[in-house]
Amino acid sequence: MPRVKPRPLTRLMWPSALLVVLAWAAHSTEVSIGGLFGAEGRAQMGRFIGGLFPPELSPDYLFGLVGPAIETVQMSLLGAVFGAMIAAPLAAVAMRAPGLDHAGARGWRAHARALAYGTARGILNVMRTIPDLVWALMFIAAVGLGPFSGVLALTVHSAGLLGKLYSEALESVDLAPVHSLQAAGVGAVGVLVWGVLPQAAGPLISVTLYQWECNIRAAMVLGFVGAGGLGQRIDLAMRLFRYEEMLTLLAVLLLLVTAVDRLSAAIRGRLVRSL
Amino acid sequence: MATAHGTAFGGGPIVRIRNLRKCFGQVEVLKDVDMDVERGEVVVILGPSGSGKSTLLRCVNRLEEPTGGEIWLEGIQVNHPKTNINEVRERIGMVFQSFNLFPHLTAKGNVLLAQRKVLKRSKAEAERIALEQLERVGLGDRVDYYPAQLSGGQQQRVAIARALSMNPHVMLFDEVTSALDPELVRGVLDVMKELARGGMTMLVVTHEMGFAREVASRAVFMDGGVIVEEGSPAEVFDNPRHERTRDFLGHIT
Repeated sequence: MPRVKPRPLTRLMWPSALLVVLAWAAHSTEVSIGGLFGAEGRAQMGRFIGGLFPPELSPDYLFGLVGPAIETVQMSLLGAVFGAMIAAPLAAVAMRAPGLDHAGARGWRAHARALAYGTARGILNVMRTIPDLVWALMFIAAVGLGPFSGVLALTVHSAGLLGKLYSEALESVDLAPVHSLQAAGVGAVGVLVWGVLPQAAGPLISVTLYQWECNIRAAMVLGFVGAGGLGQRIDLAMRLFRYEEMLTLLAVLLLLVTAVDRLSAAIRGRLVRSL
Repeated sequence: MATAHGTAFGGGPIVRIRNLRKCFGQVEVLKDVDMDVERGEVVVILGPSGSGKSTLLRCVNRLEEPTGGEIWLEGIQVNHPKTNINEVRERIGMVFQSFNLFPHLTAKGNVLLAQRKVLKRSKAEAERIALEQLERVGLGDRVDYYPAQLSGGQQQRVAIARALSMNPHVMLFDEVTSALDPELVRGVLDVMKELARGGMTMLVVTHEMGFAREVASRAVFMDGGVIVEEGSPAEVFDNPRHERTRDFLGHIT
């Protein structure tokens, strides 16, 4: 079928509509070049950037950061692992696999299956949609300030994200060999364990490690609201106008994130190659 | 043992299909199909695409859920709600058009899996049977190859070995040579001929007329979800009674 060439007016319609939306958004959010680069903005930025130097590098201070840094890594790791443990069963229920479970699922079983599917999806959506920062605030109200509420917040948010990613990984396996297992008389659980999981192992491991990487950044932000770790130190430094500590803290954070990225990439590469 | 959905199986047809109906949404793919398969019979099912032949095959082990009617295997009603379908499936071997091997397992690994998990055979016994069956389909020297290292014909023969390793009472073949390059079809058909000679009960959906003529004890022609005619291969191929059968055979030979 020959493509109809749009007329110039029609071609301009979408770009100009986009421009209008962007302008409107910028106006509403008080975006102003002057605010950032005007005399006042420049002075503030200058003071801040000037304050970063020289960074605080006294051995005492650096030594004092080891604890919070480890705490941040611990929070991120626990959040990812607990999240994965909650996500796995939910994902198994929240996956849609045409041709996998229809045999035998009739009448009330089919309804129960649909109900379980909807419930699991709903739980995952709620866990994922509420930002980890809001979860942290809720858990701080519940269990008090400190890293434990951070772990809980990361767990819930990770579970929501991983659950969705897991169910997608499970849904995207090649069902043909799985059908051959079914035809040989393998039951639903066996089909999942021997047919689906081995094929999905690579992506499952991969997204879990990626979630850990995301958690280390998130764990830092959570510190701002009092959930412990390095973030709490950054928040403190900001409030006390100790900008020279800020630079050190940001450098440590960068180091942590890079280390976790490298480590997880190494593990991922190794596991995926061996599968 | 006699229950509502199964009785002790003595004689009679090994597969009995009565008034089988299957709908996909509004589309009726199978309309009141009746069929009996005797032990040791090789029934070849022919017909244009969309005639319902594959669906019929997939209803026998309930990979498709029948909409109506009854299917019996050795005196057990396959589509009865109380029937444990997995016990029925243990007795039915199936070979698919697209081989359906696990890419992460070797030929031997593929043949081992269901033996170990469903029949709970010991590792040693399962291995012995796997090697025996792979030998039987002519792949004794390919046991440690992965599917990607095998030709389509070899993969399909691994799939046949996998099905045979479960000691099935009936084998279902769903267009098993349709995805193969022409030069690879022979090897697969030879294995199937050997099986038929050995007395295996087989339901075969195929377009291979030469195979049907040579091996089938009965040819069944389907069109539009019904069995149009059936009989010995000679009857159906040389003296088709129905216009539609003549049309179909005229088109493909």
